[in-house]
Amino acid sequence: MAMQEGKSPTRLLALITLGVVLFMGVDSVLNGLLRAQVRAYAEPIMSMSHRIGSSVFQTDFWKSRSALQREIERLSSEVDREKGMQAAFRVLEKENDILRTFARVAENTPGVTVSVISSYAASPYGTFMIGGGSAQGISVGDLALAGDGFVLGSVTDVSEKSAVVSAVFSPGTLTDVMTDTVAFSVRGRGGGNARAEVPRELPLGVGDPLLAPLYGSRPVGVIGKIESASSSAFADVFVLFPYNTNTIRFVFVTSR
Amino acid sequence: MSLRILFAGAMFVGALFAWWVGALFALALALRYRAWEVVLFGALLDIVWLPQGALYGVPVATCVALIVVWALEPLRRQFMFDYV
Repeated sequence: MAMQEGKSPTRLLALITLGVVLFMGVDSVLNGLLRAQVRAYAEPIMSMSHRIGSSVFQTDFWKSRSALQREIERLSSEVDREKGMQAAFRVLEKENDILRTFARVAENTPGVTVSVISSYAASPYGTFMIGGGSAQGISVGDLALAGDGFVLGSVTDVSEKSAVVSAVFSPGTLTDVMTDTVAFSVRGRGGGNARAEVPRELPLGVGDPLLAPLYGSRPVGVIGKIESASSSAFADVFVLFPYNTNTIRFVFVTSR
Repeated sequence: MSLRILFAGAMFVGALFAWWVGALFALALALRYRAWEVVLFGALLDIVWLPQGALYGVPVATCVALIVVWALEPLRRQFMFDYV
């Protein structure tokens, strides 16, 4: 009797399994057409949940006084560190401006500012959704910039009113980066973080901005920490995106 | 049945904020029930978040969901759970 009762749920599970496999297969053949339709329905739900999450979890209501004091101290020391990083970045920026003038590259970058409509942590693939799509002139391959022109990711899927952006430092992604003297590869770890293993002798320092040739030599992160054991010939370089990815609300989308 | 509905609801709602929250509830559901909701959850994660062409086109979340649901069947039988 137990086996008889178990057959109906098993059939249901098998049917749903078959349905999902068929859906994925057809979507793959149609080059993502079906998933674009589903995303169009998911977009208002993601947008609403993102607004709810921001208003509920990003308030001080959840923090005790001592936790707030600790956070103030931490933020103060971060401000000092950021000032150092900005100084290094300004040096590179000036050099870049001079080179662009020599090469007669247009300074005004065309693009559109759109809102981020999903939680950065919602995706296991390091992707997030933006509230702009083909209607705003966004196409696959466009770059999403945050803050001072740092590349947050590139557009991978576009529908009419929304698009999916894959973060530069999405888990497992290998990206070639360079400073003014050194080039190496970093592997993304999600959450705006990446890591690289480089020879100890390389002239790298905390706060050095990293540029990515793949993204038009735009900055993609800064070196946050360098660790090396005296017995090792290599050093671990921890790279971070200079802005808290959980609080980025708008990105500037431009062509590559 | 109410526990299943509660877990399934928490799974889908939790995934809107952080995917691992939904994954935890999915695992709990798959341990207790022959949960087709977990398969749908995995498929939904891939449909919404997996970039076109990424990971050689393999829907990882769907595959993991299918493995979790079907591979835990012997464990569910071992503990003589009601087949719902």
